[in-house]
Amino acid sequence: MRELLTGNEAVARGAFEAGITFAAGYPGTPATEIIEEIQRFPEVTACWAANEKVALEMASGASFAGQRSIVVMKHVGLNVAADPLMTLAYTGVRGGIVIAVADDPGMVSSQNEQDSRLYGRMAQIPVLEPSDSAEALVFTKEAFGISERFDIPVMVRLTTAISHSASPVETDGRRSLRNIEPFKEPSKYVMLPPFCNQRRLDLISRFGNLQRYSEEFPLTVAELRSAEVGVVTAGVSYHYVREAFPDASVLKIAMTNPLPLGLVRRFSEGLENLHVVEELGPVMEHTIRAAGIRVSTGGMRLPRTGELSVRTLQDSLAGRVEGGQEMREPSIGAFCPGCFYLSVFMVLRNSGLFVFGDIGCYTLAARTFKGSIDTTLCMGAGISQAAGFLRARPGDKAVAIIGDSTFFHSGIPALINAAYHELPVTVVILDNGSTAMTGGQPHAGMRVDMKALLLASGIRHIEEIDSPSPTVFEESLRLAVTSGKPSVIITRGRCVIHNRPNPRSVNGDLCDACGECLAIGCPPLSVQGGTVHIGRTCVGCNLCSSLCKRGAIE
Amino acid sequence: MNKVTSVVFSGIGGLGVVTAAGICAQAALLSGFDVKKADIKGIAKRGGAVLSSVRFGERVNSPRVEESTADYLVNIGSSEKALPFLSDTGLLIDIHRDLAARHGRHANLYALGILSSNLCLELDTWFEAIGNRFSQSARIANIESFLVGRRSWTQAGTAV
Repeated sequence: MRELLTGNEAVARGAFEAGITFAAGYPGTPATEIIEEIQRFPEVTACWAANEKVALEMASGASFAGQRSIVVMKHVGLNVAADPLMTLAYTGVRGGIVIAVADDPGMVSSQNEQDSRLYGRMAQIPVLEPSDSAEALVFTKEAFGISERFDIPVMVRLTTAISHSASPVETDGRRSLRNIEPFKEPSKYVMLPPFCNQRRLDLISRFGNLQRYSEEFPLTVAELRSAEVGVVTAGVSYHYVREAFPDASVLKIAMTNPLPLGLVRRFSEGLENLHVVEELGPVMEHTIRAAGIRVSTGGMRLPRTGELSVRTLQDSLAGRVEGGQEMREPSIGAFCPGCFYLSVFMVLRNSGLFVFGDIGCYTLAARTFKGSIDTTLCMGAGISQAAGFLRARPGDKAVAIIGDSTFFHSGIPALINAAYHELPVTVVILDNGSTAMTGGQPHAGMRVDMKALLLASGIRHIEEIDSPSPTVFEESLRLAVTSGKPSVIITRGRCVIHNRPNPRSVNGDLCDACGECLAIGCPPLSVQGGTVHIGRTCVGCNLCSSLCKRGAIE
Repeated sequence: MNKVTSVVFSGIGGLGVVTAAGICAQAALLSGFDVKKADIKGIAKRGGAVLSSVRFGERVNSPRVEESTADYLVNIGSSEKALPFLSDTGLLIDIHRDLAARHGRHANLYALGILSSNLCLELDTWFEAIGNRFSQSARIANIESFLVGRRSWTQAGTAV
């Protein structure tokens, strides 16, 4: 069936069609929707893991059990999953493992931009780069077969432009797979010498097989047109190239690691000018040059930051542009009206203390309340930074802020560390009961007794406040920072978007989609499967329920 | 030559801007075209601006509409129009906030009706695309708004 799917939806569909039974990830723009889409397939167990490392490890367990699985994350999430990834290349798989990574060139919703292909190179695993939704589906589906055939996890690498744009795909049915029973095989899976040495030799051999396969990979496409200009490219850049230079010959590489150098060499022969077009950095280009293939200099100087575009490419070729691209207006603005974080950050800004920040909605404080946070580095960093600061300056004061989801992602070791080293950090845990920034996903810490965890970690000064007013929080903060001990203030409140009080819901048995409630035009109301459905953003104002003649809204 | 039509939809969150873009994209798909649709709605939930784009043609490459290349800009209810996207020869369909209020939740369909008069997509594909989006009871009202918009263009010959 032909339909419009976003790149993320297409990856989910491709994995489903390949017969996965397990999916795991951690929310992160632009990858989040992949798991959310997979969650709609009852045949697959899809879950939000505590962090990306755990997600990949879980998938490797499912693979050991003989089942196909996909792991989903954004580029910085791959940093967290890098430890298991490196050694997973050694052990290989039983059920195929696909790691779907969505990069964010231009760091529109991230603290940095990274080229995840470099992880593929370091780990020596295949990297597939789809250029649109159709390829996202097909490449993901094919990746599982490649994973099992070459006994290796496979990376499918996306970027925002592919993840979040929709284009036509052909959907198909789901493969049914044989059930494999797990069995013991320590020489393959227990990575200590001499087993890991043997697997390393095996990886070198497997990678050699992949190099030969990459040269013949059927999804790589050569479009031969002009003899004057030829471009080697991959991913969404292919589309910018195709549109910017309609007459150029183009080699669109589907498997960019290992790079099919034989193919590139043959493509380059007979071309007057060979260019390599890729976002963020000359990853393919350097490999091509190192192989002695001549790449034209001076003709194409690409920006080393941000997304490419048709215009940027045309300007580059004409020698008009160099270096970075112009800054895009940040699209994520400010706190939501009514967010309880407003009180907290107002106080922090006025306190004059150093506040070591973290990743989440609260990072926005840096824009709304300038001076209220002093650092934001990566997930879980605030607590460690505050601890390090106090270690360097004994007797000083330091505050760290962190959200509940981020705390369970990577804040716990940092907190235990601070308590162990008796560093009197004041940690403010902003607990809104969800992973709010990315859409209100649940997280693994939601059933954890936070206070018990803190006590067990050796923290003795703990305060829990619900929806703090500035005066209340100010006093708590004063007590905590002057206590001279590691202290934690848990501020709790509802996320005004994702955790509305009293959201309404529809009784499907009573609803006949008459449309009376839809007349309001309230955003969370929609029709799905013949009845009205009320989404997460409902505030419980009861307007729709007052209009319902069937009594179906409760 | 491969002609690609680029349409940008802009407005404020909640007025059906993304739905309008989705219907347009669907109509283009049903008409047999290659289509690429992109949404930039990150801040819509926080009451911010919404931007969606649809490009269709025999073969569409770039998913993004770049500055000064949009053939049509459909603005629904917002005073902040995404004008930099409109090409020199492009058409602005601007549904002013008051008109949007008058049409209520169908302002987006009214705008699509005007747009449809300018595009080469078959009327049937519009009806099917609209039909796919709404429940039985809401379908008729939405198609009505769509047709009113379409008729107003034909009669007046200008953007409202």
